[in-house]
Formats: sequence, C-alpha cells, structure tokens
Amino acid sequence: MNNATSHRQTLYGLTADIHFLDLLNQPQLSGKIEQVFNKAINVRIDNQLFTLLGSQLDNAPNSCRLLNKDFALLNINGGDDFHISNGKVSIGENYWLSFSLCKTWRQPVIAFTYDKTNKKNYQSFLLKQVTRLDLILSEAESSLFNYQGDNLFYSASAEKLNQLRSHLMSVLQEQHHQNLADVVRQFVGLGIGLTPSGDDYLVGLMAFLLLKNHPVNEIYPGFYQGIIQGVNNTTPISAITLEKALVHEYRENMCQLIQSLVDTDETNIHLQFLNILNIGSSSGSDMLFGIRDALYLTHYFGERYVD
Amino acid sequence: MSTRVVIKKNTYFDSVSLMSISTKANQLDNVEQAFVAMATEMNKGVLRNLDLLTPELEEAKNGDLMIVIKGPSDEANEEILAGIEDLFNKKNQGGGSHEAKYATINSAKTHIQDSNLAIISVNGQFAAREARLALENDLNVMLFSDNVSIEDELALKKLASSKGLLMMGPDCGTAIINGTALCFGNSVRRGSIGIIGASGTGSQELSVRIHEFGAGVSQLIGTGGRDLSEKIGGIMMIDALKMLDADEETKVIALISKPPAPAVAKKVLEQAEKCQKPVVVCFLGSQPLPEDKPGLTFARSTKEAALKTVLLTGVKKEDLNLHSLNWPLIEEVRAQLAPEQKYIRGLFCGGTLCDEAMFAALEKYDDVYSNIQPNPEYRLKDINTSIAHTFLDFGDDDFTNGKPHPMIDPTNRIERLLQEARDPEVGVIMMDFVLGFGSHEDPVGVMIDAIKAAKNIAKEDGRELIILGYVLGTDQDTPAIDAQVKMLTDADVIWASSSTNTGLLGREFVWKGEKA
Repeated sequence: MNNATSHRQTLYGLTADIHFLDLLNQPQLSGKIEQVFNKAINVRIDNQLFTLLGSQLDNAPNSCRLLNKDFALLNINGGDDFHISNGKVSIGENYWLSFSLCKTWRQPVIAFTYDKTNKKNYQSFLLKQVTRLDLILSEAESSLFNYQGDNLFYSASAEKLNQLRSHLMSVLQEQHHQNLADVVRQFVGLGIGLTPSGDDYLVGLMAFLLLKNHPVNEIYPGFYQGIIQGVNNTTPISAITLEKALVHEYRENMCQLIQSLVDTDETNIHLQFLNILNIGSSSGSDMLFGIRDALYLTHYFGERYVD
Repeated sequence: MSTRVVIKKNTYFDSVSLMSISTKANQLDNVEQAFVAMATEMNKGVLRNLDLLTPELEEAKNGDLMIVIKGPSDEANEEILAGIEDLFNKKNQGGGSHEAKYATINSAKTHIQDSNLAIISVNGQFAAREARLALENDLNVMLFSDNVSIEDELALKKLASSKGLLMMGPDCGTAIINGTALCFGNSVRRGSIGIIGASGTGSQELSVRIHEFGAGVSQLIGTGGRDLSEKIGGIMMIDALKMLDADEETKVIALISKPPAPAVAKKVLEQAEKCQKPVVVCFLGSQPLPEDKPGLTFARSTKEAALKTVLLTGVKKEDLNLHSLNWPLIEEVRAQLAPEQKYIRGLFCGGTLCDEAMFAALEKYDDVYSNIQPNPEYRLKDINTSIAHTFLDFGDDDFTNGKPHPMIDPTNRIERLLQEARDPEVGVIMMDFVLGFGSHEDPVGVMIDAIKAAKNIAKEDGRELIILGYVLGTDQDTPAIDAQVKMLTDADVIWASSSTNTGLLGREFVWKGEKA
C-alpha cells in the first residue's frame, strides 16, 4: 500500500482559490512558512500571505485546503522554504504539494436586489434574523463584546469596543459619513488575539452592508479609508482579511450565509450562523456581531421607506 | 509594586487561549494584575489610557505578543512570569496530553512505558526490522507497509505468536482496536462481534453491515492478505481466534478472507471449531460452500456473513431491512440497454469489494477478466485494456506502483472511467466509494464530474450507460453517507446498498438470457 517515490512525502491539495492557483503559473517563486497552526499554515510569498488549510475547514481567499486534518503531525516549521518551480511546489526538505486532485474554488458574486429593503416581507425576515442573532450572541461568552471579567485591560478593551460599536451605529444611522473613516480606523487592531475583535466585527459588518446594490453601500469610501489608514496597526493575518473584505472576498461559510440572507432563504440559516460562530476561538462571534448590526441597519433604513 | 513586561516576537495565539491564560495567571500567588494580548496599536492605546504603557511596550510590533505583570516585587514577578510561561507551554502541548515525536521505537517505548501497540508505515525494505524491534519491545504490531518478504513475515509472526502478541500485516490496512479505527476503518458502534480479516475492505464491509444491522464490533483484527497462504499457515488468524475466544467483550466471531490454501483453511476451521463462541466464516469465492457444523456457520457473501453474525447476537431478522434485490429496477435497466451492451466493467478501490463483485459475476458468466482473477487464464495481460466482463482492483500493486492508493488519489480511476464509457459493449460500470478514517474526504465529490462526463459520452453516442455505485460507510462516518449517496443519485447513478448487492445487481443488469 505504501509506495515511496522519493524521500519527500506528497501532500494533496483539494481545493484552492484562484489567487493561490495563480501562484502555480509563475515559473519561479520562493516564500517562507510564517506560522504553523494545527489546522492552518501561513506562507509569506512576495510580501503577501497565503494559507494552507486543513480539509475540515471551508475555503477562503488566498488559500488551499489540503487533504490533511492536523498539521501538528507534519514536520513543517516556521522559517521553512516554500518553493514553486514550474508548477511543482516543495515545502521545506520533507514535502511536495500536489495539485492533481485540486479543484478551483470560485468565490460567488453576490449582489443585493436594490428595492428589496422596502418590502414588508424582507423587513420582517431581517428582524427575525436580528432576533435570532441576539439570542445566539447572548451566549457567546468568548467574545470580547460580552466580556464580564475583572481583568483591567480586557475590561477597558471591551468597553472601548462597545463604545466604538455604538458610535459607529449612530454615525451610520444619522448618516454623518464624514466621521465614518475615523471610527472605522479605531476598530482596526482592537482586541486580544490573532485576529482582533474590532477587525472581525468590521469583516462581518462589511460582508453584508457593502454588498453590490445594497442601499447603503455609498458608505464604502468611509470604510475603505478607515481600513487603509488602520491596516498597519493590526496583526498581519488580520490585515489580509480586512483587505480581502474590501474587495468582497470572504471565506466560503460567510459567502453561503450572505447568499441566504440576500435570498431570504431560511432553510439552512441557523446552521450557517453557527458555522460562522464556530470560526476560530472568538472570531466567529465577533463577526456575527458585525452581521447582526448590518442586518439591523438594513432593516432601519428599509423601514423608513417600507412599501 | 513592580511591573514586568515581556514581548514575544512574532508569536500568535487566539483570543480565547490568551484570555484563559490571563485568567489562570491572575490566580497565581501575589498577582495584582496580569494579561497577555497582541501588541497592536489600538491595544497599546488602551494601555496608554490605563497608564500602563511602558517604553518597551511602545516598541512592540503588531505581530508581537505582550505579557504584562503587575506584582509586589521584581522577584515575585519573575516567579509569576515562569508560571505564565508554563501555561503557554501547556497550551502548546494541547493542555497536558500531547503527541510526542520519537526517533526510534526503543526511544518511544522508553518514554511511554505502558504503550502496547505500534503502527508501522515505512518503506518496505525497513519495515521488517522496525516490526521486529516493536515485537522485541513487547508491542503488538500493525504493519501497514507492503513489500515485506514472505520469509520476514513468517519470522515476525512466529516471534509474535511466541510472545502472545498480534502481528497484523504486512500490508494490513484495517483494524479497530478497543473502538479506535487504525489506518483505513469506519466509525461503527462498539458491540460483541469480533472480526478477524485477511482482507482490508472485506473487513470494513463486514463491520459496516454489522453496524447497519444494529449490532456492534468488539475488535477488528487484520492479519494481512498473505496470512492464509501455505507458507504463513494462518498463524495470525489462528492466534486472533484464540484471543477473541478469550475476550470477555466478544460473544460472536466472524472471519473474512479470500479463499485460503486448502491445508490452511483446514487448520483455521479446526481452531474455529474448538472455540467456545460461535464463529461465522466467509471465505469469499469458495465453491461449494461447506456445510455448517455446530458452532461453525458458513456464509457466501459479506452481507450474508454480517446477517448470520448479528442474528447470533440476538438481533431479530424481522427487525432488519435486508435490502433484497430490486427486480423491477433490474427489468427497467435491462430494457434501457442495447443488445450489444452486454459487459460489466468494475472499477474498484477496495480489493475485496472487487473480488465480491467478480465472484458474483463468475456465478453467471465465464468470460470474467481481472487483474486479481484467481484463474491465471482470465488474468488480464494488459491492465490498460478491458476484455469482456472486466473487474479492476485499482488498489493492487499493478496500479499503485509509484502512486497513492485510489482511496486517496482518484486519477487512475477517472481516466479509466472515461475510457470504458467509450466502449459500446459496456452496459454497466460499477464503482465503490469508501468513507471513513484514512480515506478521501469526499470520495464521491472528486469523481462526480467524471461520472457525469462518462454518462454524457455514452449519451452522445446514443447509448444509456448504467453506473452502479456503492458507498461503503456508516451513518457515523465523515463525510455523511447520505450526502454522498445523494450526490450519486442526483447524477443518475444507481445506488447499491451493499458490496454483495453491487455484484448481484450488476450481473443481473447485463443479463441477456432468460429471466434469472
């Protein structure tokens, strides 16, 4: 059953997005392994971050899902070479990366139907999802938004985060768009871990609010400026996620949820909320706070012009 | 009061881990305040407002981790820091229990003295040496590697037998020991049936059918495919029979294998007769089926073996869905096939699944060819060209040389599927899809486009091509079996409910004679 073709073990890619597959078209490229987690390996190539994901994770921008489930079992370490030469990929001294099984994952293009927000049935759909999310998020203890502990720094961070959230909501509701970039900038990098809560919140908010044809997507420049001004103030991995969000690129689970929200399709929506909730340790709940507020704002603006 | 700051360059942890470490750190003696977080600008801003920002923290970068401790003295802070470092180390090691890497079996055994099983998967030329080392260290062995000489296998099995240890393999791909599936295996409930298998997918199929019929598996012991050869003499199957006979959890024993060498079959059956527990024997392809004896029951197929086994555990036959053959479907398919579409092409990942379908065809047809045909006259000379009814085991060395097993890499099967679809004499293509530990994460998904393309090739040629698919797995396996089956049926593939039914349906679909 085992047939070794060389001293290197072959790892198999299952699905990859076009940005990752584009790398294979370069005759020669070299990068370095940046971090190795159990389910993800980050690779820096030409100052961009790409990610190898475990097969149990969903697709994501700049990423390739591998057949493996646990990278801790592999002998791959930060600082190892990642080398591409004529379509062949080697990792460190021990592995080849094969794309013989690999399929392309294409990010779906999701657009809002412009006059949807002022329809009564869509309004009640939005309200129902906001209520559903409030219930889910009331139990999201891992989120900094809900921090109730006595750690001085975390309490201050949570307070700042919630203040910013209220401020952002009023800026958007009252359409004081001149202040938007500054508020958005303050979110970037605010939070404890690898992807700070403020960043995750913005990703969730933008995923729905900045959809093509969404009635409030005129706020895009404010978000764009705020993130560009703040992106150097957060962790490199989170910066990539924010930049991708600005060009409407999200992970697969997020795309599926947003599509259901646009289509008024409740069939799998609870499961899709939970799929987001389970991203990372607290990232998912922070993103859901953003999605919740995006739905609330959509309902708020729609209600004013309800048909 | 003293403040200690530590910056860890390019160190990343998720927020919940950092909060958890901070909470535990605050419970350490003498701590007034301690926290850890990424050193982003915004976080430093929060620290500034709390009057906790030091020049050292100011210098930290976005990708750095900061540890801040406020304690009674510099000395106390150092102790607290050591405690926090310890928490980080525990986190890195998965919270206490962790996987360690050892360079040699001796070293692993020295460090984990109560270990009792080694799974060995190294290049064949080193495999026997490693297996011997493991046995010498009193470890049971599962030897996944192939290309081990039969002389080495005999010596290893004699050594294991003398020490009362299991020597599963070489080329042993399936076992379930104390509820844990090793290498390729399915998620089945635990129960009272002990399986001993000299064929990997045969054992998987038997365990899956037992699970479907409502019973469970105590142990599944693989022996390796050559154990019942004249040279090895069934050493491991006989030892495993004795072990399961003595095992309190096991109430019924099932044996599954291709037909053994006659002298070995005799020895194995003699041992089975001596068992205190009932034994069900399935030697696939054995003709004729021996008569049952007290405590010894014979089965022709994997499904029959599973059924007879579970009935012995007290399950009632009337409570089971036996998935009897769907004759209206058979008639419908026969009507769709043109007269010249008279052949089956079986494209299998699982060797025993291939065997079982081939043996079903052999009961009805003579011109049955394969790369694993026991009759050398009908063994394919050129594996790239099918003749009449052809059954291919893509997991056999003929196909895997230099390539991964087809359960992992479907490339060979995809190419062959399209090739067979172009043959106007082909009526049915059979395919298996194996779920479970070690297998492809989406075995149907990676083939489905090729299946649709194959059907289109035939359609454009004015033919209806029947594809008969079998998904080996349980309702507990990942990916979900229902979704895998649905993907097949949505693509107009006919779904067979078991390995046995796959063989029977396929041979009936292409039957051109009188009604069987």
